[in-house]
Amino acid sequence: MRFFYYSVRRNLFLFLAVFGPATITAISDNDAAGVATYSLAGAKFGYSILFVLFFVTILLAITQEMGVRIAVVTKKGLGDLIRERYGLRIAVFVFLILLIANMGSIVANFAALKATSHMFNLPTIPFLISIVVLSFFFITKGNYAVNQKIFLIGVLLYFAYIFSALRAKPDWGAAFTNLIIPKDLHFSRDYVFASIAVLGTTITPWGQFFIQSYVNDKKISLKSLKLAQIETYFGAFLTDFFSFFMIVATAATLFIHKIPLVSGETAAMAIRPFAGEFAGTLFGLGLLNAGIMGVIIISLSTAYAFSEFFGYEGSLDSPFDRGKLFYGIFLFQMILAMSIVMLPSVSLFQIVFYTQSLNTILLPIILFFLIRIANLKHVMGEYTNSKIYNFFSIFSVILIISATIFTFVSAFF
Amino acid sequence: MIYFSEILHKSIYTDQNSYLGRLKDLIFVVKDRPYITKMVVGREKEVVYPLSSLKSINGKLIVSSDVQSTHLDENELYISKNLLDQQIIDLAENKVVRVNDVILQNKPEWYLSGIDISFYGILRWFGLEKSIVSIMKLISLAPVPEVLSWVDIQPLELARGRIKLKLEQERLKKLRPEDLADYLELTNTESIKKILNTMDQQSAAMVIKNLNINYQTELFNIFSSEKAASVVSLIEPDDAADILFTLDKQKRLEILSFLSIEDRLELEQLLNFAHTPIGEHITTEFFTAFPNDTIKEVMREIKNKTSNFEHLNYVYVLNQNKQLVGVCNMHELLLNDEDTPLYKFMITNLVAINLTTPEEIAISKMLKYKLYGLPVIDREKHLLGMITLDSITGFLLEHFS
Repeated sequence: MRFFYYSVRRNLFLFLAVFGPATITAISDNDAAGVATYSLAGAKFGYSILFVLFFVTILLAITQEMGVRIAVVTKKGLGDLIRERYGLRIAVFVFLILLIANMGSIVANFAALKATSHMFNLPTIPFLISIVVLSFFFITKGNYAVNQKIFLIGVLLYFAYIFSALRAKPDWGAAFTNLIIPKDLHFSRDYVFASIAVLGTTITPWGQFFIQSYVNDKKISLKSLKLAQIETYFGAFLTDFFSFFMIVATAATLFIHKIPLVSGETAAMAIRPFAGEFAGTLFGLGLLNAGIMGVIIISLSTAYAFSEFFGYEGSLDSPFDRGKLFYGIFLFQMILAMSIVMLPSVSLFQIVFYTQSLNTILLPIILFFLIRIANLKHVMGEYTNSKIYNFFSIFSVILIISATIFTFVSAFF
Repeated sequence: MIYFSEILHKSIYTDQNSYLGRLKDLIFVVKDRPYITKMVVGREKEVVYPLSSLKSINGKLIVSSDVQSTHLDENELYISKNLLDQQIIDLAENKVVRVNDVILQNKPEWYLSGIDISFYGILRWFGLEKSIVSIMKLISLAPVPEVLSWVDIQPLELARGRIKLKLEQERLKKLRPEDLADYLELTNTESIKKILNTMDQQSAAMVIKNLNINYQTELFNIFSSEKAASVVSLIEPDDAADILFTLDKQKRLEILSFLSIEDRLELEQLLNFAHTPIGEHITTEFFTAFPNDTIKEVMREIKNKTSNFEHLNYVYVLNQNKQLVGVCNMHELLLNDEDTPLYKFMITNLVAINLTTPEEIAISKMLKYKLYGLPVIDREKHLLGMITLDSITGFLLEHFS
């Protein structure tokens, strides 16, 4: 018994030593754009959209696990590997699309932060500037360990959605049933769209880049690969665990009362009359937290990718003078995105729409690289994708790619 | 000099004009002088051919028709597979940059001379090098091309698949004009010109200034007079005078005609001094020793070697490279213990002149620092001779009477 206790304690300790990257990446996939998408989907389709979550979780787990495995085995980021295996031309091309697509995602997150500032009656411009300044301060001054702790606090703050959902007094029976059996599902074109949007907001090119770079920055050893893989599955679960409550909160209020939601950012205001002032505030705080996480993590993913593509030192642990380019790219994106959001005459909707289309183009390319690299025997050794795993991963990737192409094409008709 | 990016994927034909495939990779030996030995040609599958079969590289690559395929040897590596796009790390294992392009020399033999780590190396792959460089020059933003010479890389590490530098990152980041000049002197005038063309005027002039005089003369002869004049206006007048002095008269006058009046007058004056050089005051009666020599040894040498000297006021101290590093006077030699080596008390803060220093300046230096003699050195700090107080007395007399 005693032995058992120690063995559990020891394993838990080892697990905590590798814990972080996968969970933080997965949770950041629920950035402000993610929250907005879930709110819209929940408001429009109610509990029936929960059915999609089950699949999204599996797809997220599979793609992220490949990223983690490649990173731990090769000690290289996705940017490193693309440049080394596919040459400079392709690397620069991928980097430029990633840069623009990520800019769009950061703009979307700043737009959400702007909306929350209105909700909490905060002065918008000082609010956004202080977010940029504080983020830059913590990223440059803090090392990897400090920043991971801050990010994990961000992860904890997603619990706001659970309380928010509880306050909405949902029909738990219906929620859980729909998760497994889509009994309320009315199949329609719009439903397919919403499902793909949920998928597209969760599995992202920057997410794939970030998880690999971040795993490398933590310097996880090959011995701990098993634990890192377990964490990946846990992270994917946790992400959609929170998504579940986001959908439930809007489904139990806006969908039941047939209140149409114009944009995802306004969900927090809209649920107030039904779930109460407190639930609305929690929902808003959740969005605020998601926006800040999104801004930082996506900017970091570009900074990591830039350093990898061009071979500069890029790590949260590197001192400022050696990581100038890394930190510079990080800051540059935040300032540019914030300035775009502050401009009154710019149509944020269009910017976000077009840059998200770039994400759609980029995702198949990135997943292609991912599968190719995970199958390189001389690189991955005994950790190469197995046949069965390949079957699943290629099937998932084809599913994701056809879904994204479908949205992309139909968006223009 | 050619860049690897310029020949990769080029079509290869035999001299009978039959198509072999495209150039996929080159193979080099990991040695002090990394010769390119073989090439990988890809059509349906990849075949390795010896590079000795390569006849010409103009437009398309031509190999002799009796070429036989070969294979990779033990100490050989691929350029594309093992070098290009790989991460470069410094001594402390910090990531520095990636290999953007590889620089090859094809004369007299093919070898790998260095690695391009600059922004230009990236642009070249997109065929944008020339256009972007000219735009950046317009707004005077063109960065210095950063080139890593082969000697900066640790060959042992390369064999283990890592490109590790012998230098610290800081030194590498700011490759000083002096170092770049040293590196360029290993190549030929044509490649120097190519690299200088990618730099902004100021940095290019600084590099030219640091080249040795033969390269300077060659470059100035290639340059148009107008371009040469712009270089002249950017470097110190006495350096400029040294170069101009080696050119033929017509070219020199042409270059001078492009300069501002002020610059021209100054240079003409300097050149005139060079015509009536202090050469006539220079004596080669000087005595040298090494820093580690003791006073006892030096004294013995003086007795042996200077019996026919008119004067001996100073002992000049040279290092291993025969560069002037210090001086001691006779009084100091007598005062110190006879087992003391010279470096313990020699004066390292030297006053010296070179061949183009005008007479007036040389003399005023002697008078100002109250010296009995001035060493004359060249740009490599090699001691050429000295001016003694005796040799200039004639000049002084003339001016005072």
